[in-house]
Amino acid sequence: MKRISIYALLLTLLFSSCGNFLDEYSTDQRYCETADDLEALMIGEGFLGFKKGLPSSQETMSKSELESEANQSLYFPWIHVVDDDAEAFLVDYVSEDQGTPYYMLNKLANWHADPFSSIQNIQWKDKDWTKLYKHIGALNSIIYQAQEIKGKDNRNDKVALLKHVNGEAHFLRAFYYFYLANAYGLPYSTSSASTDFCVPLKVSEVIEDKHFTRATCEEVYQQIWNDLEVAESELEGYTPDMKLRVGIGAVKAFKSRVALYMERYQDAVDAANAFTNLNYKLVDLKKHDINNSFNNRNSSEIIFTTGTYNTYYIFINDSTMQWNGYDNRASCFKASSSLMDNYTASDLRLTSYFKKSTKNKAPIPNKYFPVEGDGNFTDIVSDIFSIRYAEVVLNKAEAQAMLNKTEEARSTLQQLRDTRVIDAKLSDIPTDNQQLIEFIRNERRMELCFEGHRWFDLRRYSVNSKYPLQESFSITHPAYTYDAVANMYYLTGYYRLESYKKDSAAWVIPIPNTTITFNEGTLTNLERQTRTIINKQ
Amino acid sequence: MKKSHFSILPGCITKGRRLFLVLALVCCSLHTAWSQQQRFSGTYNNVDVFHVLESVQGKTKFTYVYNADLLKGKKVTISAKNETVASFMSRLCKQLGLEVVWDGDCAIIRKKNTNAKKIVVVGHVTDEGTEPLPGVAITVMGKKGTAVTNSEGNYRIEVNEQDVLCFSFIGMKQKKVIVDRSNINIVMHENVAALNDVIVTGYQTIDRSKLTSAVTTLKMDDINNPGMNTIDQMLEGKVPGMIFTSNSGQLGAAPKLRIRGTSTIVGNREPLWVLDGIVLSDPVNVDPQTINDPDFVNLLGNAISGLNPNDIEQIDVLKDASATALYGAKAGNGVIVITTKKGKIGKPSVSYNGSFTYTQRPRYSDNDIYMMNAAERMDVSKELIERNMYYNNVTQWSGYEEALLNYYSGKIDYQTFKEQADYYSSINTDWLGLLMNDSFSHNHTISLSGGSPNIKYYASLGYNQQNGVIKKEKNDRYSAMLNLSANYRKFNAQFQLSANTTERNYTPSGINVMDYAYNMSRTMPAYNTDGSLFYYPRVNMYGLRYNYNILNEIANSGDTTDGNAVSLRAQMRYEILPCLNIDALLAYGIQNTTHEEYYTKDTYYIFNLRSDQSFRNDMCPVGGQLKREETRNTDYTARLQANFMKTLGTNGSHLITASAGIEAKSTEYKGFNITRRGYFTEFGGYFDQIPTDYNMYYAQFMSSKEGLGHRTRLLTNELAWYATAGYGYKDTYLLNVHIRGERSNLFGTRANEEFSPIWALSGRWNMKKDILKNTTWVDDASLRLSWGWQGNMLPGQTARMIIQASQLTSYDFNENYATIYKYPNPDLKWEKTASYNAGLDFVLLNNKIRGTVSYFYKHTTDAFLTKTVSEINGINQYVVNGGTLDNQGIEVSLSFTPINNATNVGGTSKRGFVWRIDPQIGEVINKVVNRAINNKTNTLHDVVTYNDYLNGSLEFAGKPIGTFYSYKFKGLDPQNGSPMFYGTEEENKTELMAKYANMTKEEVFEDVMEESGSREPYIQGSINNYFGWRNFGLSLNFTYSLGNKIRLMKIASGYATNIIYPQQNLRKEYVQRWRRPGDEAYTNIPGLVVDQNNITPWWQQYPATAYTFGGNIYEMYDNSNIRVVSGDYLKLQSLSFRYNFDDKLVRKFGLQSMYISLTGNNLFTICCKELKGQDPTQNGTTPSINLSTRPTYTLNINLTI
Repeated sequence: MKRISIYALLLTLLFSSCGNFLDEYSTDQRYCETADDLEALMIGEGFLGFKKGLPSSQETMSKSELESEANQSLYFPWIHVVDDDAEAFLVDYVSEDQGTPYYMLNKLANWHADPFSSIQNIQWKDKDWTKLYKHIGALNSIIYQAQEIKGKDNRNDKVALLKHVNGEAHFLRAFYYFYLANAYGLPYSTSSASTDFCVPLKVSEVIEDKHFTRATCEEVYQQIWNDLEVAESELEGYTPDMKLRVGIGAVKAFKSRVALYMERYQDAVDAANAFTNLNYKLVDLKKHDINNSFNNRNSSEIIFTTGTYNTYYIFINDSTMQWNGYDNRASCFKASSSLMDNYTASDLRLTSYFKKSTKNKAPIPNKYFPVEGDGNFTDIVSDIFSIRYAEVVLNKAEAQAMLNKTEEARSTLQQLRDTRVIDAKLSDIPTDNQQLIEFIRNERRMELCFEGHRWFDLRRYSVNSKYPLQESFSITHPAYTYDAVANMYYLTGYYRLESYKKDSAAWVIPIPNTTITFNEGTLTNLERQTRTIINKQ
Repeated sequence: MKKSHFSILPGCITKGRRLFLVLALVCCSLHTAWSQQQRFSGTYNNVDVFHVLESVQGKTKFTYVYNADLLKGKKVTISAKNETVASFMSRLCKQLGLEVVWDGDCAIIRKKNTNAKKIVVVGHVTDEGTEPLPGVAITVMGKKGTAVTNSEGNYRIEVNEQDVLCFSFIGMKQKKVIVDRSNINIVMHENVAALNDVIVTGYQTIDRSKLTSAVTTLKMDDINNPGMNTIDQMLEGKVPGMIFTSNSGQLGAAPKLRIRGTSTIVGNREPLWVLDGIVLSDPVNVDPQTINDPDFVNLLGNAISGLNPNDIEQIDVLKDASATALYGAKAGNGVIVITTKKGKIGKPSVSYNGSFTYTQRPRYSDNDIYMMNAAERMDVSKELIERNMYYNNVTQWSGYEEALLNYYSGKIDYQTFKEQADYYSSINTDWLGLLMNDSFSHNHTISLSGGSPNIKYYASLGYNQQNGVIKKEKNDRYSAMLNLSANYRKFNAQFQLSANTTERNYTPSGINVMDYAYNMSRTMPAYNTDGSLFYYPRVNMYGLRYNYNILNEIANSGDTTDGNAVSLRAQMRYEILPCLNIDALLAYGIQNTTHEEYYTKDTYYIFNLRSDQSFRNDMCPVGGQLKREETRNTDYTARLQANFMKTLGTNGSHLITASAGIEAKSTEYKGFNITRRGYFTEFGGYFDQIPTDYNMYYAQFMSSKEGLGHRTRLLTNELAWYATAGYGYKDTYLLNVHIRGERSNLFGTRANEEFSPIWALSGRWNMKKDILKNTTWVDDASLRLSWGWQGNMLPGQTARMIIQASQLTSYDFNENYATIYKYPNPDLKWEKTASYNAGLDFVLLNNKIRGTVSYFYKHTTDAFLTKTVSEINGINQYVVNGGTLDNQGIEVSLSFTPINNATNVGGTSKRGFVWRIDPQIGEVINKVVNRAINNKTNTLHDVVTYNDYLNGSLEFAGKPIGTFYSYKFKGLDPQNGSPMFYGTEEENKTELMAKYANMTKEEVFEDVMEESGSREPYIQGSINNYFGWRNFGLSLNFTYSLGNKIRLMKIASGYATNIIYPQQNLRKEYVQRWRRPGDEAYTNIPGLVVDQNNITPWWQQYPATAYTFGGNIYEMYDNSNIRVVSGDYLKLQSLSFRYNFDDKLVRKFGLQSMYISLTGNNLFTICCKELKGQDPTQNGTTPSINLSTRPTYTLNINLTI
């Protein structure tokens, strides 16, 4: 017996001496338990990534590139080409199996029935849907975990950090739902928002194995609004050091945008008014050096930005690399004449926002370009997921005009025009309310072109209760045919998108097929018509 | 001693004394003592007393000890009628004036020692080799006195005359002697039987007659094949119920083993390897998905790659839950226990074993290479050009095509063209010969073995050099092993030290030599006429031309894996009481693996990285690239176990055994991986500096994880307790319970929170001792039954969210960041497998037939499935308990000895003719019985692609794992010879589109395709034949496999693309291709591609894209039903001829024994003739062609000094 007890003692010693033997171990995995974890998770999953690099040929969009779910991929590249600001830019010939922007995006740009397919009818999967829901899934978890953690660590800096992360998460969820709603849902119409379909709404952290249905526009916008209000209270008085993080400015500015979409004009004005206390100001183009890009992270106008600058990959110079044949060759897009015609000669935006292509002098959007030798694109700004101060001014002017505060609207707008146009006069701005609205909308188009606004704005104007777009409104894009003998593209006609009332399915991006199939009938798309080339413009 | 001594009723003997007697009798011999109660009948008339004893012994079962002088020449007349042995013996002895005393089953016949004298006995105890044996325990039967031999093997003991001395020593047969003189010298013999018929489970050593579980035991001597270098290869067909699949004949490729089917979908399916009780780890950690992929060729080596088969004594394959329960959750796929050789008692003997192997490379003339020669290939080129056919994007004109185009365009005249054409058609480059060679490998093992009963030793040193048939492929292995075991009184200790170092050389898989050799047109020269290398152009993605020659690529690249492993093991057993011992085991092992892959600047790989060679885009401006991956695997195991064994009751008919133990095991993988550019191989290899101007993509690469280098660490700690208990009644009925609980440190495993349910119940009924006692034609028969539960959990599935911290700082945010690793999965339960086993062992007809028949049934519930959920959740895959799997099968293992004249030819020692035949059959039927997740079709996944259907990666309810589908071939288009398929007809396009639009994707797939069968065979086995005569032995080993289907190699897509490049060779089948209308009646080989529409058919265009069921028609052709054939085969796995040199001759040379053998492996295969030379191990589903299993010829010499 004595012996056995000695053994037992030895055993106890043996196993108690390595008490942490069974502690869970991993080099890099851990449970999400602190505000710092949420902060790290926010950077890793909350924000969009940055794809960096300049194209050296026209082939910037292979199928695999477009189907990439990586954070550092393109987000919504098509948003720039579906509206009336862009048109095809074709010079010389690239074989049709190559992934050039024109070959990959032309079905989208011309509102075809199967928009996510190449010129050879090879489908590519729309991953923007998946990617945004992935971010939202992470944000849902962050919001849930923030609730769980709250109150567990009472150190001042941790409490503040948790508040900021929580505010950011609510803001970003609202922000991403806004883009999903405007891409895949019907536009928000005050009269029918409670019945119009939007996108599926998922705000809980639980993985649900079910078939999802589309929520209504009202439900989605209400969620966006609620999230913004939480963000507003969590981020009150907070302005981050870097433009990549969310502060009260971003919340207020975005709130003014959402209010405009919801026709809550007074809210839009109120949100914009908050900027009197914030340190953002318009860039005076008269003093701007065009060797530096207009939009960059150091600009006093930029309030918030996340994600990449897609424009590079869609609007490509016609001379990227001389020796490999990519000289005087284009298979992409350029700014449309319908946009360029609006700028007067005294408009400084012509030179600050665009460049002329090397060979054909075609207008190419150029709001951002890296500083010479900056291979890391340290000041990159997204051309879609950004908020800048000029928009706030325009939001405010539009809201004021809609509220019939014509004079206030004119003076608000004059602030902006004064920095954009040489000798801008207040008298240039119409005084008739409807004309003023038209003028503001046009100003908005010129100012915010290629920043992901035009397409959403057109949808919004279409269902506006006060001054809806004319039913006769349409967008035409020129259609070209390649002649191999002459090595030339000939204009063979036009594609036309009719107004929202007549052609509504084409104004809504279809939810990806895989999602439709997976949900077995609980999700549907509007049926898009086949689109053919018409002869006259 | 009388019968009453066994009575537990109070008697004249005091209580304490009686207890002592019972203990002494029962514990010193654990055999039951009931044989003296056996009854028998017989009549003996004036018969020699020895004959009487032998006869009685034959009828019952007992042993006896006597003094020969007392019995010599005595004759008796006696008869018995249904009398007990005890009573008969006492009558017999009375007649002779002697007495009988029983010691268990042993009758001691001696003089009546009524007034025995005290006597001092001295003596010397030795083993067979006359080595003195110290520490031998000497007891006096029924008395108190004991003694132990000293270091010289001498003893001294004071006893009475006619007492019985009992000499015992672990590992030796016990010896009993009646004291009749004062000097008794003893020679003890090794207990060979005890070693021979035992099952080693790693935790226990079980006597075969007490086994209750399903275990296949293989003696290394029976399966050792000198042409094979790892044990896993030797197991093919040897273990009924184990399915062996090898998907490549490449040097060092590890086969896949499945013991009793597949009982998990997501988890690891490989069996567990155990060496002398220690669970082995793979040198490099590979995730289960990769390992489970049937098309993955494992060249990394597995846990036993470093082990020299010549060091192995025995292999036990544990198959059912009761055998594997003690290993816990990780043993769900069966356990293979390897026991290494231990020293044998006797004088030191040195053995040398050398084998010399010749491996045949593939040749164009072989049946299994069915590729075009130059003339046939040129005919295709001519047809292409004459018919003005479509060439897709050819930027690389060369060879005959180039000459022809030059001639057409007027660049060269007819004469020059003719000369060039003749040159190309006459080249017939032997790519297989250039890239492969017949290889010669050799293997040497030298071992030393010997020992005394106190200490035994085995040491070996092995060197193995294997050369692959693909040039530059080479595996070297040095191995050493030292086994020491010591016995002294109550101690038993074993020490083991083993070490090995391996070096594996390959050409990087990116160059894909095998594929190239197969698919390179023989019209393309490898060398120019002046002997320099012939280069043809290849372009990179920037359109830059590169001069390509595979020989140059091979010379400028390399892939080396170096491994070093050392392991130490110590085991101590101490006997606390005769019925209780404690066993402690400690093992430590370390394995270092370094994998290096390099390309120099003169390779296409680097050329591609250099893109347009500008400062911005150049990814490798200087030199080449070296990728280095280091893995260090450290393992330790500590185990403490107590074993108890005791017989109880009258005659000791109740046997109770129990063991319990705790075990701690830790496995750690540490790694460091880095990829560096600017590498030069000169001067032993160095890195040059790269100018800082390359500030864009190169700079990005240098700041990536792989460029900077990154460390990995994986630590698995496990603490387990286990127990087993057994009860046996009269050696006839046995019952066992096994149970194990474990906890681990795996991050996010619920094993930490819940008890893992692993337990098993098993029993055995030795029928021969019961109902078949009097059935003469049955020599032995027993029935085994077992039932057990096993649980399994996946790592990383928890009720809380797990995040993964990145090891890089975010450039833009200048902060560390994290991503979500796993969303919470609070509802996930254990995956459970219930397994049932029934086995019948029998020996019939005087040992002529031996065999085992088993039936097993494994039912897995709550199997993990990766289920697709809507991506609106943020993720689209989630692990659920969704599956139910069934595996069942019958295993038959037989051994016939129809002719056995081994010992009785005319009284000489020479051996007569012996024929032994051992057929084995193992059937495993595997079925997914799940209620489908998707109710409309049978699939268990939600979002599937047509590729999942084609390559068998889906699980279908009611169908075996590995079930795959194929398109239904309709015929060739009479217009252009392109293939057509049912349900895809171009002319019915509109109707079909309307029909399919209303169906789900799966319904469309199942409409367009048909079920082809399963990729996994369900019956595998072998037939071993052995013929022996005199000193000659011949063995023939056939293995067979039935039930799987395989795809023929691609001829029209993938590596064998139908869009023919000038350098592309084609399968010979293409000679029979469609050429002109009308041919479709005679052939089903499609014509050359004429129409680009064939490349983008209607089902890849909108709106059919919603249910696209295939790629282009050529891909569909390769995946059609006419390209599926049966994978059944019968293979002459080995043919071996062996000659043992005559003893006299051998002794003349001063040797103990010597033999030579000649073995041929994989000599021929009988399989489906439609395979046209394709080996059943090769499959058309692989992305590139794998080498078939190669024939080898081995000369083996073994001599022992």
